[in-house]
Amino acid sequence: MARVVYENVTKRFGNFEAVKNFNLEVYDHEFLCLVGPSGCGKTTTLRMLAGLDEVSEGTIKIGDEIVNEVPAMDRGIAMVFQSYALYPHYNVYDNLAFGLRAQRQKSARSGRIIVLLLNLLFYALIIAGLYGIGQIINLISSGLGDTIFIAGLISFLATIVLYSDVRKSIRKLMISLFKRNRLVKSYIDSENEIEEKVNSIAKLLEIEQQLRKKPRQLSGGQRQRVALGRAIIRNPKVFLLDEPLSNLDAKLRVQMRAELQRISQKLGVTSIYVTHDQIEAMTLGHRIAIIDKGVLQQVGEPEAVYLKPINKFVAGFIGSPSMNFLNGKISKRDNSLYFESETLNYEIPERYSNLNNYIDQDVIIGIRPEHIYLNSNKDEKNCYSVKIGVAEPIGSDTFIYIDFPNQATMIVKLEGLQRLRVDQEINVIFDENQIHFFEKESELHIDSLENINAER
Amino acid sequence: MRRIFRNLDYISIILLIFGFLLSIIGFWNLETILWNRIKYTTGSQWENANPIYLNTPLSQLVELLNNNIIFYILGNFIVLIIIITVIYQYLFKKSWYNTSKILLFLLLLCSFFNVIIGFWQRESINVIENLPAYGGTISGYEWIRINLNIQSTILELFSFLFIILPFIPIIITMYIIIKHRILARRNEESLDIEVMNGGEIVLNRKDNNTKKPLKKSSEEKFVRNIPLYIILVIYLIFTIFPVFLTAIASVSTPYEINNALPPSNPIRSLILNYSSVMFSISVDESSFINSLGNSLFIGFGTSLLGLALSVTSAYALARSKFRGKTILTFIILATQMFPGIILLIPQYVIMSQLGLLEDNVVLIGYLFVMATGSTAYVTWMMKGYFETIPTDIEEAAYIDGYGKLSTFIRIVLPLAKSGMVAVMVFTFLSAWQEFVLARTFIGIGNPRATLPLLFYNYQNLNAPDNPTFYELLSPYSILVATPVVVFYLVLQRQLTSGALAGGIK
Repeated sequence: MARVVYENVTKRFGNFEAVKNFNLEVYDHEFLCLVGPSGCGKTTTLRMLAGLDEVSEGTIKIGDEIVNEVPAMDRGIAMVFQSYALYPHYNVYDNLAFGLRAQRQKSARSGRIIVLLLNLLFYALIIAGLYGIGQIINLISSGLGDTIFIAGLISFLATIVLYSDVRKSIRKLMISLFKRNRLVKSYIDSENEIEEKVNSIAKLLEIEQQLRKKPRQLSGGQRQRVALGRAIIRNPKVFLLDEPLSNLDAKLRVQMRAELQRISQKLGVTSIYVTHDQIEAMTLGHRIAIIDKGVLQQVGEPEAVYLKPINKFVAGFIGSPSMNFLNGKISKRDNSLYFESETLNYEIPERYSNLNNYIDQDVIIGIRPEHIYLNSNKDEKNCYSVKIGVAEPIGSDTFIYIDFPNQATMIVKLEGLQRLRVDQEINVIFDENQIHFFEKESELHIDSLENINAER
Repeated sequence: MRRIFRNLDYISIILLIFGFLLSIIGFWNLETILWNRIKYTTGSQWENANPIYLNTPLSQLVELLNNNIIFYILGNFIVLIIIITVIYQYLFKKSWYNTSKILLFLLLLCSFFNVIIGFWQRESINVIENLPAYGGTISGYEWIRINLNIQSTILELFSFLFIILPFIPIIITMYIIIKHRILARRNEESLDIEVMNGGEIVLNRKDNNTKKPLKKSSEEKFVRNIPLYIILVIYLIFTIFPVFLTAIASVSTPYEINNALPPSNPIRSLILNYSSVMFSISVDESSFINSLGNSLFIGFGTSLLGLALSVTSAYALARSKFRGKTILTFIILATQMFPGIILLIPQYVIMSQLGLLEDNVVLIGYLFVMATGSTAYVTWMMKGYFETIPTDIEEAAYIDGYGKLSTFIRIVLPLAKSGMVAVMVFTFLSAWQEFVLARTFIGIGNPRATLPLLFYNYQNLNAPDNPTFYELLSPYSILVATPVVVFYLVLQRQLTSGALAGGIK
C-alpha cells in the first residue's frame, strides 16, 4: 500500500506559483519519472511529498493517509538528492547506518546510553586508580606520587581525546563485560542487525571495499551509490530521486542509469524520479509525467508520450533531437487537403481526415527528425529538394540540418555514418504515418483535441 | 611482537607526554624553592618572594636537586625510547610520517623544553657552587664538596650531558622532516617531468621566452617599489621596535637594562628571568602559575559557556523563518555597537547584589560577565558559519528519521566544528587579554587575579627611584602574549576561514 496521490496541489512562494493545481496518482510498485525543463516546479513537487516544503493548497496522500501535516521524519520515505547530501563527517558505513539507527527500539536506545555511562565510569575508574597509585607512591617519597598522578592524568586524557581507536576498544571491552544485561543486549542485537543490512546493501551496490572511507575519499559514482544505498536501506514506502545522475560525467551517467534500472526492478518500491533529461525518463520510467511552468502536461507510458504527444510542448520536449515545427495553413484543393506555408506545401495523406475541420485555419506541423528520409526519386509526390546546411556525423547516426526556402531549417536524423557534404543537394521525404498537427492557438495536438471534444 | 609495534603509536604518545610532564613538573618542584633561596642569599632586588623559603636548609635544596635530576633523566630516557620507536616505524613502515604528525610535533616540543631544562640544570649547579657563605657558615661550593663528594662529581659530569642529550631527538626529528620534504619535492618534480616528457620542444621554448622576462620584470618591480619599501621599513621600526626592546630586556640583567647595555650572557639571563617570573611566589600569593590557572579557567570557561549559550540561537537565526527575525538579528548586532564600558557600573551593582563579588566565587561571577558579553559576537559568527552548511545535508537527516534537535546535534554541530574552534579561539583570546572588568571585579593583590592583573607585581612601590623590575616585567609580557601568537600561528587558516564565514561582525 504505497500509492501516492496529489490532489489539486498548489505551491506558492510569495506571489509566484511554482506548482499549479497539480493532480497525479502514482500506483503501487510504479517507477514514475517527472520530467520538464529546469525551473518548471518538478523538484518542488517532490519536496512537498518529502515534507521539506509545505503545501499551499490541496492534499497529498501516501497510501490512504493524508500527509500534509506529517513531518518528514514520519513519512516513511527515502530521498536521493542531486548533491548526494552525504554526511561528510561519517564514513560510508555510518552514512548507511544513520537512517537505521533512527528506527531503533526504545530498549536499544537506552542500552546505548547505558554503554556510554559505563564508558564514563571506566574512565573515572582509571583516573581513580591513578590517584590511588599516586597516593601509594607518596608514602614512599612525598611529592613524587602527586607528580606521577598529574602526569598520568594528562597523558590518559590526551590519549583518549587524540585516538578514537583507544576509545573504541574500551567501548568494546565494556560491551563484552555487560552483554548479559537486557538493554545492552538489545543494543548489541540492533547493531548486529544494522551491520548485516549495511553489508547486504553494500554488496548490492558493490561498495563493500569503501565502507570505512569518508565520502570525500570516494569518486562521484561511488558517492552516488552510497546515496542510493542510504535511501534503499530503510525499506521506504516511497522512494524519491531528485536528479541523481546530473552530477556525473556522461559515460558514468549511462552506466549508473543501467544500474539504477537493475536496482529499481529488484526492489519494486514505488519510486518518483525527477529529471530534466528526457532520455533518462524514457529509459527508466514505467510512466512519464511531463511538467511545464508548474502545470502537468501529460502522463503516460514512454511509447504513448512519444507517439501521441498531447501538445506542442510535449512533442518538442520528448525525443532527441527535438521535433521540427512549421507554421502554416490547411487548404482544400481537388478533393485533397494541403498544408501550405511560405516554406513548403505538403499534400496531406488521407489518414489525417480529421483535418477537414481545420480548413483555412492556422496549424503547426510537426515532424520528428527520425521520420524524414532521403529519397532518390525527385519527382515523387511530397518530395523536396534541399541543401545541407550542417552535417554532424556522430557515429551511430548522422544529423543533418537542411535549409528550406525562406530561412526555415529542419533537422534530419539518418541512421549510420552517412558521407554527406555541406551544400550538397538532397531529396527528402516525410514518413506519412508519423506527422503531427497542432492547433496554432492552444498548441494542442489535433487528435487529443478531438478526444477532449468527444469527452465533453 | 608485531602487534605491540603496531600499537606503538599509542604507547609512544603516552610515554612522550608522561616523560615531558615528568621533566617539567620535577623541574618546577625544585626551582620554586631553589630560585627564591638563591635570590635571597645573593641579595637580589626580588623582594616579593615568599619568606618561608628563607629558612629552607641547604641540604633539602640539594636533595630536591637530585630528585630533579632523576626526573630529568627519566624524562629524557622516555624521549629516547620514543626516538627508537620513531626510527623503527620510519624504517619499516614508510607511511609513519603521515599518520602521526602530532607525535612528531610533541616530540620536538618535548625536546625543546628539555634543552631549556638542561641549561637550567647546569646553571643551578653553578649557582649552588657559587653560593657565598651565608649566616656565618661555609660557601655553597665547600658545602657540596663536604656533604656530597661523589654526587657532585657526577653532577659536574652530567652537567654537560644535560645540554647535549636533548639535542639528539631534535636533530633526528629534523632530519626525518627534512628528508621527507626533499623526497616529496623530488616526487613532484619527477611528476612535472613526466607530464612534460611528451613535448620537449615546448619546454625549451618556454624556457627561452617566458622565464627570463619574468625575472627581469620582478627586478624592475623591486626598483619601482623602493620608496614603498622605505616607508614600510620606517613603519615597521615603529611597530616592531617595542616588541624587540621587550625581547631584549627579557634576556638582560637589571644592571644591563638600567645602563642600556647589550645583554652580556643572554642564555643565563633568559633562564634566570623567565624562571623567576614563572616559578616565584610573591607575598600576596598571586603567583604566575596561580594566575595562569585562573586565566586558563576564565579563557576556556568563557569560550565554552559563550558558545553553549549562543550556538542554538545562531542556528535558529540562520535556518528558521519567524516573524521579527531581521529585527532580532539587528538588536543582537546593536548590542555590539556601543562600548562595553557603559555596562560596567550596572554589572558591578548586579554582581554585588547577587553576592558574586565574594572572594571564593568572584572568578565564577567574572566568568558569567565575560561569557554573556561574548554571546552577541559568537551568535553572529556562528550564524554566518551555519549559513555556509548546505541545507541538503540537514534535509537528508530529516528524511532519515531524525527530528530537528537530533539533526542539530548529530549533523550540524560536527560540520560546524572548525567554525566553533575559530570562534572559541577568538573568545578565549579576548578573555585572556581582558583587563578593565578584571581590575574592577577581582582587583589586584589577590590569589584569584588573572594574568593581565599581574603586572602590578613587577612594580616596586617601596622604591620610587627604581619603580619597575624590567627584567621581570618583559619576560612576563612575552609569556602572556605567547598563547595569542601561538594560537594565531597554529590556527591561522582556520581562523581566517572562520572569520570569512562569519562575514562582517
